[in-house]
Amino acid sequence: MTRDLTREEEDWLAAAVIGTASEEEKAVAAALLADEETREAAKAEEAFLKALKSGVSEGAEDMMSPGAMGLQRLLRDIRAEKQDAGNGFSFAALPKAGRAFAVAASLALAVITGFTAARITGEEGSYRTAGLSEAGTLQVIFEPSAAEGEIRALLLEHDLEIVEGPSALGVYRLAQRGAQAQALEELRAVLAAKETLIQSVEIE
Amino acid sequence: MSQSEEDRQRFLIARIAAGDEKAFAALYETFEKRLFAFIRSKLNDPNEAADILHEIFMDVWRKAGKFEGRSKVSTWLMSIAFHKTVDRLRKKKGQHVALDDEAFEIADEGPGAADILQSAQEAAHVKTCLDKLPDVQRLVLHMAFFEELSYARIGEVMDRPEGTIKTRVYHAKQAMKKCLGLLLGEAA
Repeated sequence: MTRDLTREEEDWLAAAVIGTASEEEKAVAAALLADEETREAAKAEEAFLKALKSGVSEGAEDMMSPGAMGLQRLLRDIRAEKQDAGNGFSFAALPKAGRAFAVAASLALAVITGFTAARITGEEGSYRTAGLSEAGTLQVIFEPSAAEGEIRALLLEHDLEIVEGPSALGVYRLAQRGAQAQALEELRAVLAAKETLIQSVEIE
Repeated sequence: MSQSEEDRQRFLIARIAAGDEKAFAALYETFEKRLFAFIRSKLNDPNEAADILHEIFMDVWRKAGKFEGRSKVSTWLMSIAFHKTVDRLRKKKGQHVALDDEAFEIADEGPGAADILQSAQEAAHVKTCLDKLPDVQRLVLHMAFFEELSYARIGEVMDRPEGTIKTRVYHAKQAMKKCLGLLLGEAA
């Protein structure tokens, strides 16, 4: 004669499938699977639980997490907070919309311009991007009205990458691959002429 | 998880409290995929999930010094993730998100075990049914079957008694069985 499992028995089987069962619970689960009275129901429940575990895990493992990009964003915000604390300025006090714009724009630009090669270099363990110019960087503040697509196009046109930013005040540090000092000055002038997109641009 | 791994994570938290960015990066690398998957189990929007993940780790940076070590590091992080995700859902949906046991009707005559099993073998069926679950049920299944947390630890994360978690997992399983049975009926 066979019977259905009780709720408690289903819990023991679940714990055994998940892997959180104690030795005692494992023994009970094994007995349920062996007992003539409960074997059929226990095997069906066990198979269901395994399929459920597989389904939940499969969906979760397929997800692309922010990875190095997310860490870069965090470190940037942490350093901005430290700097703000030192200056007596609070990033958190900025209007939320402004912060959201800055973060979203930074992320979108970073993705488009291939800002994905964050790695730890040097003895201090600082984070830098691979393949960037050592010739110098530009400090840029974009116009608040500049559209994300326009900024993206500008960065792609001049092969620029975001090295850091935005800071609490909306400042980005940009670098150009292989730029020489003279070219950097020319680039600064070109960018400075984009008055509808760029509020200010300076060589560091 | 081994005791040495838990010790390593606690050490990282202590270092983060002291302002160590390398320790912060190490903790991030240890947990970001798990936490992201956890958030995504409730939120379909990957950008929104990335924002919550960011908020969680900013909280870790700011509050590491307040970690008292009464729970495991992973439980502490999951708890922050859980509450932030629920808060976001509340704001997004503009409605109450049930954290206590929802009333859940289970048909007296559910599908047979063979039908459920046949349907469960179809990965697409399982995914479809998981997506249809109420948020909280999907979360507890994720914590139990993916994170492999015991009911007691899920209770710590959700700040609910172990018995409530057991009930919730039971209801979630029943809902899955019912859904899988229905899907098989539709496919037939």
